[in-house]
Amino acid sequence: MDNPDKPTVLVVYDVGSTPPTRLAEAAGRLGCSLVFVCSRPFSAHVEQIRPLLEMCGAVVDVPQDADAREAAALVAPLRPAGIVTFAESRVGATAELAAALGLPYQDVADIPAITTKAAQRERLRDAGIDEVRCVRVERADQADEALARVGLPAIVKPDLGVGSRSTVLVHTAEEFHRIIAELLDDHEGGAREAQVVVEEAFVGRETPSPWGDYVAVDTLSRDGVVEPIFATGKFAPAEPFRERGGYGPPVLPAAELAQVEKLAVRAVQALNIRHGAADVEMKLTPNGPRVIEVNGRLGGWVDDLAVRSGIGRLAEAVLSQVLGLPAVPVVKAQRIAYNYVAASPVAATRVRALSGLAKLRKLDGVERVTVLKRPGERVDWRLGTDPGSVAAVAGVAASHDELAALVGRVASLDWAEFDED
Amino acid sequence: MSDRQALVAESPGGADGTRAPATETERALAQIWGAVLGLDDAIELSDNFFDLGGHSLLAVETAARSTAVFGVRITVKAVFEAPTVAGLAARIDALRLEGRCGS
Repeated sequence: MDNPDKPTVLVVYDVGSTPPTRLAEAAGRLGCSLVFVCSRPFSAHVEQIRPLLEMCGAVVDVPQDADAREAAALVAPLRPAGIVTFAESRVGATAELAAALGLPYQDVADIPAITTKAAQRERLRDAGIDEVRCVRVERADQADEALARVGLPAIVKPDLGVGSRSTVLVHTAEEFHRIIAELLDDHEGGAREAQVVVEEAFVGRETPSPWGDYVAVDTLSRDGVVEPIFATGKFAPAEPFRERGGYGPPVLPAAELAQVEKLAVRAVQALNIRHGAADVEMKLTPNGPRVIEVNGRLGGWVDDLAVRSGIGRLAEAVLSQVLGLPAVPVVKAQRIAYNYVAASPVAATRVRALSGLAKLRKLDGVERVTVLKRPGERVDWRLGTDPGSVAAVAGVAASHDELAALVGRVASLDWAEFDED
Repeated sequence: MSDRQALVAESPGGADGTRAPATETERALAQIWGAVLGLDDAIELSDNFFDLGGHSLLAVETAARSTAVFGVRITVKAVFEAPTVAGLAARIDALRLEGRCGS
């Protein structure tokens, strides 16, 4: 039986979190117990993964419509030592629960700036970090005015954004109106988004393929002291804007790396993220880095990349901060770790066969290949990263040149066959 | 050497030293893995579920499908603790034997 004196950490859980097994490993090393807090109605992900949550810790279900005070009454008897979330959608609920329990976390008053795009832009502008043309749009009839204020090219994305869901880069007015109508107009099943933001699209600096012109820096705050802990390079997206994953450490000259780390820290301070991890995405422009967005939790693949590159265990670093323990050491990378998402060709409509997977797996530098679209399944390049991706490939490389050659081989798709209708 | 280990040791080996699933449990389990992982290439006895692209959610799915097919409760913990076809099949056989002896 678990030691009853072990400190307990509440993990407010939902889709997008660092895997529960990784959190359980970290908790084991730190000598704490995890309690996963899940709110009803459960997301499909929580329904599916529940047996794993039960394997990795205790699970507390918060009834539908329970407010933070009622949720706090459920978990208070566990005498939690700290609270955290690794899921973007739960940052607000975590702040409310933390406040009700009297545990350190972000201030509830800062949550709109941390989790919604338009409020975040305003806060960053007020802090003198960046001024970006940005308009919130709730109805399709506001589209013309938004376009006039922002101009083209523009980015359209949900105000309350999770990952790259519904994020679209538009170049023409026609494209813009079509996207706004798709996202906001009531159709069968209702509008896809309650509100979107339209903001100016940054033009990236010249960046040779396969590298992308944007990066992310993850930070860790301890009582308001913010430090960069990991930088992730991004691969150039596939057409039209299908994300292809990331790698770390990134291809960046030391001076540019220092610039992005400094900007990330300033952005996190401006949003008053005083506890735990934040993930700051930045565009590399000819005039220096600019903030794309800040997320108030650890980046999706960051712990995995950091562990495999030899930099350190970041999930453990976050949990140690929650427990008020000394910082977990983060060291210089020994290799470059990557997660590459192979995108389907533009003309492909269905995966016919993945006959070269075994060979792909045996390539030097490939450690894991996860099939995202099985033979027979449809692919659609127009619908973004998920419907237009075939497999995720993870591994390590000794140098960036080696990694570029390897992802070139993966991107050639000589291991897959497709149908074209 | 247990009967089970002996059976594995006697499984026909490929030219490169690999071994194909041989028992009924191993073949059925390899089929489940193929479906869950989206693989149409041969899965070998020593293949690791996670090296083949398995992750947490797929481990949960594998446990559920295995429970349905083999008629004994295969937990997601078992998939993590015994992540090869050979290892998990051995656990399944042991649980089935236990069930028969216990009934």
